[in-house]
Amino acid sequence: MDRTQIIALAPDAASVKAADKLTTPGKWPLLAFHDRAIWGHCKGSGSTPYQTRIDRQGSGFKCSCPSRKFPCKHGVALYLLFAEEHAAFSEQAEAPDWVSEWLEGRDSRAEKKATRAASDKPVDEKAQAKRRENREQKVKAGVEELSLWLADIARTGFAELPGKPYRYWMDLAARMVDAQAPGLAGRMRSLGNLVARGDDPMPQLAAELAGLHLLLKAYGRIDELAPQMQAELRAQVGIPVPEALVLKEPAVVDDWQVLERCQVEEENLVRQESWLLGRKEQRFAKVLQFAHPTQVHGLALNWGPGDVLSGAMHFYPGMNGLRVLPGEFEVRAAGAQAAPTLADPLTAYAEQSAANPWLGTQPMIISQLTPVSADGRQWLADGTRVLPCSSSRANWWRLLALSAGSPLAVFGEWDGRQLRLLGAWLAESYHSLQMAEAPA
Amino acid sequence: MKLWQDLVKQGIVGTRRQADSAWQWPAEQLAQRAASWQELPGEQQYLNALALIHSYSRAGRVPWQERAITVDPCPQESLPWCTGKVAALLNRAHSEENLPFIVEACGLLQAHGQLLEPSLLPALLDLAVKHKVLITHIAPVLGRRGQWLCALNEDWAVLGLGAGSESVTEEWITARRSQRLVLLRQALAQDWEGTVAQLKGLWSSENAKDRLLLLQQFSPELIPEDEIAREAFTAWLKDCQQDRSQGVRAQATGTLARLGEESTSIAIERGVLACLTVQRKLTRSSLEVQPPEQYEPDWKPFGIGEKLSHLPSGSKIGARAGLLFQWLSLADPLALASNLGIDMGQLLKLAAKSDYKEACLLGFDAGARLHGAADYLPLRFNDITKAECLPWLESMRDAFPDAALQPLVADTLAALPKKRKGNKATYGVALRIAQCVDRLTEPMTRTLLELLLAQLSGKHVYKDVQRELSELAWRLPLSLLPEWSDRLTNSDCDGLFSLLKNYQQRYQLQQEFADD
Repeated sequence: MDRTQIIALAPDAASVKAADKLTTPGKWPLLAFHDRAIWGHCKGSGSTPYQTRIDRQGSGFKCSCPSRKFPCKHGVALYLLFAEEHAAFSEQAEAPDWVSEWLEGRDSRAEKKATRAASDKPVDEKAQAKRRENREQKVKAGVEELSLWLADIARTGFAELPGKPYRYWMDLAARMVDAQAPGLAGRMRSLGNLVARGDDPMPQLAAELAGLHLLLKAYGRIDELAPQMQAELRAQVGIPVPEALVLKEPAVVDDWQVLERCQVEEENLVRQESWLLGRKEQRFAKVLQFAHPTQVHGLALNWGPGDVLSGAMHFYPGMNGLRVLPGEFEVRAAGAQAAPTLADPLTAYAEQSAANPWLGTQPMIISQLTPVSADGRQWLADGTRVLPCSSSRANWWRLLALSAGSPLAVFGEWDGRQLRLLGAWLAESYHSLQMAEAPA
Repeated sequence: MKLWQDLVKQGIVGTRRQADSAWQWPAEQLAQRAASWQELPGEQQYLNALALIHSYSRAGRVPWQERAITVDPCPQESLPWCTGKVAALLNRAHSEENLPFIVEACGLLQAHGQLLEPSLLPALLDLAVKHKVLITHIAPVLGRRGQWLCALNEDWAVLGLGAGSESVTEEWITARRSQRLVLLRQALAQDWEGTVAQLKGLWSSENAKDRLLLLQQFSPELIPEDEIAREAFTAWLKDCQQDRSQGVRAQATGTLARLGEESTSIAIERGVLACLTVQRKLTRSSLEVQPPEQYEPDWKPFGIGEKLSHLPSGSKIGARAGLLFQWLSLADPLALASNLGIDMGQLLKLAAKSDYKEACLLGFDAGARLHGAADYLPLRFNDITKAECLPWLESMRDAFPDAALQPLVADTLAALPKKRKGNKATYGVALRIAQCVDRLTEPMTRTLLELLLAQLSGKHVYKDVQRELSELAWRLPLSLLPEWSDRLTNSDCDGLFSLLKNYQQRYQLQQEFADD
């Protein structure tokens, strides 16, 4: 773990600042590690030092301080010290009791969890079917309710929608959550955000309602559709696929290069999205994880752009499956590698759109494009044509700095209209456009 | 597609008000599909049509726009970029807005013929715009890529016009004030004579404040030993002595005096000697100070003000003492002592006993600053009281090199009590004294760190002291880090910890270049 990765584990900027003040070996009468854990004693205001320990497998933390933050400043500081002042730590064959007992507790909990997941305990199929049926009914009721709302809107006109308060959309979303259709709830929230926009939202609103109508209609006759389309519709509506089922999907083993990792906080939930690219198969994958803002450390944070995950990924079922559940893998540095040359991804997107009308944003690598500005907006030019793109001001200038007016390969998310820029290759090295350490 | 636009319009008003289902389908297959839902209610027909057309137009959409937009590519760099480690350190310094670190790193890059890595450029350019002090340090290590970026971004234009840029000699004329001074310095470095010719041409159209600022930019560049420059500028500086602004006249006179221009030097000598006379007696001598009785109009070109009511120390003075101070501040005190036939130390002692003690001594100080009279410093320092020491050193800081000030700073630091006396601590004074030189010597560093550790260990310090302590790291010799690292680590003081962190980062940075 390097400094950037460790900082990402901290609950907030204040914790990083506080931890920075503790990153001096003099504050730690004890600093030690072995292959599994790092531990130390940190001088606090009390007579006895705080006992801080870190599980290097999965970045687990524990500290005897009374802080409610997790990890606390001592945990972050210990990890930073380990990364930056490694010589101050003594390597030990065995950990003291207060560390080994904690590790044993973690292991036994993980084992229980794994046992539960892998247990061949006979499934009560009747109860399971009943639960599934109950959910189906709730979702169908939600779909019907939304269909009625949509017909009503079509009858009365969209013109009144921008005048609706934000609460109106949140109420609709809440009803869809009650109907166990979080995908539809998300669409309602997006519509609320869309109509709140200052510029003319009507064409985009009409497009969103068209997609919603198609989804509701298709879901009404889901049983008549092919299995892949059924899986796609369930994913669109937001019916989760149990991880155990995903793990039964065949594993795709590759060297998965991490192209992007970002966190977005919405509705009191942190969503972490990571884009991976299989170097052998040249296939994209997306790791999607969720956590409460106080439990961000539970997300996979020990890798990021610049790393390669060598191992297995299990794809979720669906039409254009991108989402994966990571299986067993090892993290290592990516090293130099030129951008892959993929067949015309924009044409592929257009073709996929014909088969899947709900095709959302798709990752793309497009080579030989020069970033240029014109008419107050961002473009990628290939000499005779231009492609609209978007990025924050900082990211755009970083891309220009990398390009220096010459063509390069860019990575981004294509939404059917423009490419949201996320990274680029300079010679044989990939650069994420996000700054490694943003200003505090 | 017109049908899509019609559908959007219909959607806005609603099918209740406009129930038109006779749409002109763009393809026969779509029309056939639409025929199958003729029996459905109007709003269902509308939604079906909307979904059908949306999917139809989306599938197979070509996103490219036929349009040629080009940009001139950046020329190839002739120098290498900095190492990944330096880039990582700079990235961290940027996130912490650690300006001294960035300044030092840019200096090292320049000295080792390296450039900022491309991905760092936008962030550091933004930071330089925010903190203008960085501009002159970052500009030389931007490389061609940085210059190219600056040409594309108006906000960064001031950084892009560095050495090698042809437009800098034109841009400085129209730039805004703070940018203009930076550009003028660059233009002078690029084309001294041409830029000064431009300056002369513009002179009469500039306002007084700008004239003074512009004159201040290149006055320090003129040195007495540079005969060509001296001859080239003497006439113009003499013209400036006729300026409408007293500040400009005073600046021009000061520059001429420093350059040793004959007529100005004679006038100053005459003005000063008219005020001071040494009375020699058998047992002891005395200094008779007779400031001018009244202001002479002939003094106007020398920038002498008619009524100076306060000395730089803030003391209120009368008109005569004001005139005395202004004359003395133009003269080299060492040369004056020689003209009076006594040594400088004696002159200082006699002046200290006169009725115009403060005007004389502060006038000598100002004269020493103007003429860079380093030998004056220890003589004057000997007679300064403890209370006067710090403000005096601070007043001399910008006019003299470290070598001249270091012995005085060392003595002052050594004289401070090491430990707290009750609530009285001297660490604040010690820090300010240390700021009077760019680099502390090893003995000075030891004295200062002993004092800081004795007074601050285990203590909490306010943010401004913490900032001063962290900035101190840039004045300490790196050779002492191993010796002090443990003691600072164990100090249990936030401020000393900040100092140590910066000291260590600076050490790491230097190590990166040490192997070069």
